Amino acid sequence: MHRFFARTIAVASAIPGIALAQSAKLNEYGNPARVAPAPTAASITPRDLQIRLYQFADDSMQGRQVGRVGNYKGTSMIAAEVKRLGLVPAGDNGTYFQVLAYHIKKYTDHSRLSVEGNPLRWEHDWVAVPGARAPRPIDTAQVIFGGTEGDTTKQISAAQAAGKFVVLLPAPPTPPGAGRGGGGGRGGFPGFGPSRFADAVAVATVNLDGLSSAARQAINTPTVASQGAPAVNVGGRGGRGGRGGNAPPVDSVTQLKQTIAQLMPQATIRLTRAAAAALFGRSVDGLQLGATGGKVTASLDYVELPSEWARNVVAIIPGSDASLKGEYVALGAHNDHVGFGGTPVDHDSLKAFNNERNKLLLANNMIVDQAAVGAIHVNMDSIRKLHPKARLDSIRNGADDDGSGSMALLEIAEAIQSMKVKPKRSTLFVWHTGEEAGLVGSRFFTRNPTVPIDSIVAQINIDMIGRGRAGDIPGGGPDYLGVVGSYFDSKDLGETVASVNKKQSKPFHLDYRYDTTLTWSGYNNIYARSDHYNYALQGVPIAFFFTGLHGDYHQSTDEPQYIDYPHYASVVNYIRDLSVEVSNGPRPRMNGTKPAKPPRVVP
Amino acid sequence: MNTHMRLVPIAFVAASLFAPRLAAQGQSGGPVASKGVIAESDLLKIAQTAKSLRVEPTSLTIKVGQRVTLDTLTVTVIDSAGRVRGRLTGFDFVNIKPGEPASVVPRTLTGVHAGTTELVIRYPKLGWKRPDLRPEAKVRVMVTP
Repeated sequence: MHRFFARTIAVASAIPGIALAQSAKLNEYGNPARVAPAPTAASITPRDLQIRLYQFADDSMQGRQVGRVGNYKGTSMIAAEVKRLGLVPAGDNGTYFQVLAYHIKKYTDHSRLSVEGNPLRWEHDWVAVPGARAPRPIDTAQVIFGGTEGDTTKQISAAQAAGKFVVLLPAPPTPPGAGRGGGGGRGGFPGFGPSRFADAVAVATVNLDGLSSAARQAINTPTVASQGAPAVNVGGRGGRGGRGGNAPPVDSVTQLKQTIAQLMPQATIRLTRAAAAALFGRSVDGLQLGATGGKVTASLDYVELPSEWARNVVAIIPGSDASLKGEYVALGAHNDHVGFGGTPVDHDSLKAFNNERNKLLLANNMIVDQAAVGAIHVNMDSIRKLHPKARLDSIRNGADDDGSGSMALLEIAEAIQSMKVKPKRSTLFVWHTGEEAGLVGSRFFTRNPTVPIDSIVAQINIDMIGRGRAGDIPGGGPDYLGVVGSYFDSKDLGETVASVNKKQSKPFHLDYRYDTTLTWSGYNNIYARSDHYNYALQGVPIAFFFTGLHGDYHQSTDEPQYIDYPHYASVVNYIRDLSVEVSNGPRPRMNGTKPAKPPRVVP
Repeated sequence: MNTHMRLVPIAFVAASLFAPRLAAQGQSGGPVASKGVIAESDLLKIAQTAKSLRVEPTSLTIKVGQRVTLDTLTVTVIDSAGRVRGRLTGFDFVNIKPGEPASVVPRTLTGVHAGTTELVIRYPKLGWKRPDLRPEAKVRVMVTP
């Protein structure tokens, strides 16, 4: 009770500060709600980064998830800018793009679903969410109430679900644990464990209300599906999509995919509350676990379409030294984020909650105290004075993750392009796609590099460098910068990272704790969680920079107005200097060991 | 920043990385292709007995300004018994020095000026843990005006 009271006060006391800032049309971080596009300059400034990031992390980019149109738009923006800056294309066929071979699966409006012969309306009452499996037709399957999404303590058993049409209530919008690395999301894919309802004919979550017509269409437009290995169709008529023709040989990876696909429910559906009520013949409120409704008949019709919506952007600034321009310093960031979807939440309420939750984490060495988190109470009265209506938000903009790195690369490219004498080695810029889907773009690039992999002397990766305030992470502040793995593969590179920092007008306090594996709870296996890892696996020395996981990580509150632009600009200037130093200096020598690998992931 | 490596999306994606290569192999036919494309997961195993690489064609003639992607090359692994072990798709290559008649970045041969040069293909670094040097194969590149 006491803790509850303290948290309530804390939130309430923070609100007047916001109100004061709002009166000047700047928020408490000194940022406006919007920044209009404007020309940028060769120097790396907070203003330039602001101009770039507000566009790249705009809602119109839809969270830039790989395989979705938002990622296509984001990569188009980057490519247009590097073209304007005059960088040399280093993607496929003389373009800036290295396209990953993907298909997207899309359900069509020929899909049908009815209960006891009464049809439900496509995209009005229900939407099918594209997934790994090709759903079988559903023939008079029993509707059963399965409990709450994501909470196995309030769900029916796997045996109860087998062969049934399972309906779940949505999980409450509790933010994922920063100490656990967050939950993120797969863009509209409900967060239930896959295996529990593997034998259900469908899992339908009651979370379609509140979404606009466009948002409902977008749920079904997108997901990345594999090419060449059509989605598993266990039996029945299935969809009319697929590639047809000769089936490709099945290798171990394909087998693994098929095995995992078998762990998923046959079909994933989102429903309105009204549609759920139609399934049960009564409201879903107050239903007991295992309560049954009518019988469902459904046919989900889909097509698989080739997609260019998964692509790396690759560009080069040639070096100035004839003997060294065939070697590269690679700068990397990721152009994708986790998209959008899920139940829209009040942005301001979530932000206030995230801030409070992060304070608790900071006070507890980043260890989650679930009881304390559960006791957080947001004073909505104060928020409503600023925003009388709830601002519903389901777009995870990824301003920091990794809009900050992507726009940093553009600023560095602009800065290097303006140098009268370019660095001796060439500078390779790669904006990787699909980092959030498992480092896909960097994996593809390092297996199919457009420059010889042996000619890359170092890879400097930037992912999330826009925050790092004292309120974000332990030890945070204006001089904070996390560096990961710089000594793992090459002591030379590690020393260059340190020495260039010392030359900065205001050197950073470089945080090496992420290299020390088990000694603190913020460790989080960071070394293996961004694109540099795939370069390290190839024996390329790497240095990874970031400013920490914060309370808005993978949330709809990771927006440009919460970025610390002066700090961000300092980091980008430093990385520009580091890149130039590595380009002009001796090639960093490998330590002579295999790439370091953390022994285990801290839970 | 990626969330903890989750099995499901990684598997989808891993499959998608290999699938197009497999499909392409199925369409091309021929004795080499029938040996199959070497999956990344098999690279280390095959490296244990890999003796040499064979690249086809062994020579290319291109015009100044013409581009040929390296994906048009067929690179196969030969083991110590002389058997074809499969086809490499994600092979490594060595940069052609500036000033030579052709360039190879970005993963594309481009005729720069008339003359002859050489492209070196290597077994993927990712799949090579042996202490000796990786097998190589060379393609003679002739650039005509």
